[in-house]
Amino acid sequence: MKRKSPIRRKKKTAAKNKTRRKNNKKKLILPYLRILLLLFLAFIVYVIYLDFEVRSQFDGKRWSVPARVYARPLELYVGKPLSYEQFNFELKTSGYRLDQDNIKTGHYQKNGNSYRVVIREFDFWDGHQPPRYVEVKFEDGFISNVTDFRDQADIAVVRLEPAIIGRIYPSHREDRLLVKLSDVPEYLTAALLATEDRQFYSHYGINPKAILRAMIANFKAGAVVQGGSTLTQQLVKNFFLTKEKSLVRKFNEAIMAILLEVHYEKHDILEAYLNEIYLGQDKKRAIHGFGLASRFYFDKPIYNLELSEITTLIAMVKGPSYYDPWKHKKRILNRRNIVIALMAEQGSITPYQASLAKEKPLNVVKRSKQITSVYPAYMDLLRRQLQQDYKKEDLTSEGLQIFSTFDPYVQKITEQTVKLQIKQLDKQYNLSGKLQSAVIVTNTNNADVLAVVGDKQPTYAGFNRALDALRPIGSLIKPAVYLTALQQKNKYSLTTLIEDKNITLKAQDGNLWSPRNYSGESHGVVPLFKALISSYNQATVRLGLALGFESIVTTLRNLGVDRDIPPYPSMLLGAVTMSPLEVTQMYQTLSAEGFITPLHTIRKVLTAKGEPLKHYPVKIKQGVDETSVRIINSALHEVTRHGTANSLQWRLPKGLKVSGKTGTTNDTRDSWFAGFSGEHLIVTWLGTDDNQSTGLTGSSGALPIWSEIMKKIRTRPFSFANDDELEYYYVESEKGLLVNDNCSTAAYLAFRKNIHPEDYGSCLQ
Amino acid sequence: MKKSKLFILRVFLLVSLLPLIACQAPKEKDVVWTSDTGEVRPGPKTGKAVLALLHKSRQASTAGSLSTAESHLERALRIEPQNPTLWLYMAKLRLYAAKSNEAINLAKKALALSSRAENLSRTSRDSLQADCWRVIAHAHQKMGNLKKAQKAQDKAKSLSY
Repeated sequence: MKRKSPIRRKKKTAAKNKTRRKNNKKKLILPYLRILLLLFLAFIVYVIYLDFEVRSQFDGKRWSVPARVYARPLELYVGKPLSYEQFNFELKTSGYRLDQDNIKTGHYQKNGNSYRVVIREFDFWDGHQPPRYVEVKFEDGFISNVTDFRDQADIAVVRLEPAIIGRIYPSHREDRLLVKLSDVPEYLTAALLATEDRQFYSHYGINPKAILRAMIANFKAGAVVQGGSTLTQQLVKNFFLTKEKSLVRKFNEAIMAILLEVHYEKHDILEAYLNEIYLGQDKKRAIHGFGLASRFYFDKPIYNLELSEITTLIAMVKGPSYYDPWKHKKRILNRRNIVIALMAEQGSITPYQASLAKEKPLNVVKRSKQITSVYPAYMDLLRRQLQQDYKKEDLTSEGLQIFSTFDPYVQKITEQTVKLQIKQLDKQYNLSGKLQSAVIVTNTNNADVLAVVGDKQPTYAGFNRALDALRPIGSLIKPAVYLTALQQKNKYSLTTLIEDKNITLKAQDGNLWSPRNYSGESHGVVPLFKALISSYNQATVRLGLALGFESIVTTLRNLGVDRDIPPYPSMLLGAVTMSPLEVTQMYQTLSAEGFITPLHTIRKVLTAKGEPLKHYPVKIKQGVDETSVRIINSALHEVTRHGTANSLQWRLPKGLKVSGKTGTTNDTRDSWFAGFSGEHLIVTWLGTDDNQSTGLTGSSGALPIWSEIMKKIRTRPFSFANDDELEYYYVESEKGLLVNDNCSTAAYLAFRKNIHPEDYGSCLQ
Repeated sequence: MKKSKLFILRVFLLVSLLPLIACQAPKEKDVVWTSDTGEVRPGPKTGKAVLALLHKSRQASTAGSLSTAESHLERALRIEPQNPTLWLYMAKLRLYAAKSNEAINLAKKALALSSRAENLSRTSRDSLQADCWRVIAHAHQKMGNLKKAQKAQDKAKSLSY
């Protein structure tokens, strides 16, 4: 056995010790290495996660843009009935400004009976309308002339672009108008880069030099005076992160900025920044992006901004409320001039351009009263109709353009009338503030809903009585009963004699029911029309029994009433409950001579880019033959001459013929009036939410409001229809006999040629 | 007898409706301006605004865009809602869009309004009504309601002279 020398042994021991030490060291370092490795792995995973976040959000839909709801555009053409007052109102509603010295887009001038307007360009559903230089002349409440004031050429028809009447917001209420980088003036990007990020095109998301410079500056000042964030970082901050200030957030911001730069082109990032940036506040609405800011502050599309306006917007990037151009003029002006100076310094503009721009005033438009849904009842109806075709998310995020049937002028008149009259009536009838009202105005020709009021405080967005108050309709049902009779062509005419006397029936609850007339008296044998125009209950019940409930329910259905109506005797006097909207649908069919068109608020829906998404075509269906409806309408006209609504003879101007029906329910709990001219249908309801007796009948409550609205909106009178099957006669109201046309108490009524009065009677005094 | 009657009806319908049937890709004059009874004009008191819109509608339908044509027509209808000819044009547009039921209802509306249109001469009213009945006849025929189609066609015939 060989023995090892002691030296060798020593050496070996030393080596062993060394390895042991090494191993010990390893043992000490290894856990750290492992931790480091784990940390590194975690970091990688985290970066991958952030990368996923960045890409999925940036690639997907970047912004939710609320749907915009437009009023109907005002058509201007020779012969249109339009008053100065209304035209003025329409111009203001669409955001036009009076400027007698200088006429430019969005402005108008007034000179005697003529207006000059430069109408803004607008993309309608049927095409683009370029800016129009229009002179409109008025004569006796009509447009007498529409010309182009530059070349005096006649204009056949032109539209004022519609006002935005509301937006359908997502919960955060951010609003923006998306712009493409190619639409943005070069000066704007130049100014932005000059002030916010000079190295934008050369850095990789973060700019260490800028950070260092900012740190030194901040250290020297002892406070945060300068930021070193790049535009990419600012975008990341606004786009992905919360507003809290922490190191973790700064860290995330830097990583995400680099990731964004790795995946996307500079122009994508810049474009996103231009659309994301917060630039002001309009009450609850947050103004985001330069596209909307340009409209909001200067009432111009972004590509029309001037240098001084561009630099004002850039000045606001630093803090839109601190540099609010309406509140802090001096402050923003100074900041704007710094931006201009920076641009000149960078060579983006010449010193001459800079000095010219610095001379310019701020030029922001007067703070317009931009409307954020001040028409809650109408918008409610519109939203419900939209939800039949669209998901809620699409409405709040896709930037849809919704063209409605809303008429701002009719709405204004309706609101004013309701507010004023409800206050007076409430006081007069001691209702201690409880009296409520709902009004709907539509166009009889096409069932466009023009105005809706659902509360005595029309801008209060609470319970919408126009849609949701289900109330007994009282005598408003009677035209359906009488129309059922008139459809029996050979049996009934408006002068057929019927009985108005006591009657007792078994009601659905088994109890006996003896309807009474409003006056308490029975009238014996009366012509059919008299029972209708004076709203006799007993005659109506007797007639209804003869006709059969089912046939009356069928008539109601043919008039467009969808609700299930139980065929009980009390139905004949309007124990049926309906909402004002349902009543409007029923009378809409009467006003359209038997043709049913569903009431609608939407004309067209376009995508954000202006592509038609959904067309809402004219829909009509004949529900009842026009001849029968023309006959009943002649009687409803008589209601307003010699019937329960005869006060309209003095309430309305002479010549404004209308037709309608009053409705009052038990103990005067509901006061209704539904009626129409040749162009407008108005339904008014009055009552209290707790169903209290008000003391108001249809003619003392709902009627005055109805007539005030009808008087103030421009409308065409109701006219008698001539038709091969019809003849018109003057008749007296006792026996329904013919009288001369000079008899002032005579009713002028329509009859079928085969069934009409033949004998003459005497004029009643 | 029955068979020959049916045959005559078919030939009659085919011949009288040829101008409509032939237009798979509608042309302006077929869509809004003329029919086999001759021209149906928008009425003597039609305003300039409506005429301008009808012109646009006609251009759009020539270009094959029925929905734009309809949009212009709708605009015209909002200005002159009582003008029966505009409703008839609308009915024709729907007929081309193969919406027979809607075409019938619109034509009926045109008929109802034509009887109250004060500024139409008897002749132009008759030719307008004849055209309405023709649209109704065609729509019924498309839907296979031959009896109704013939009835409508008879009415059209009684009004054409």
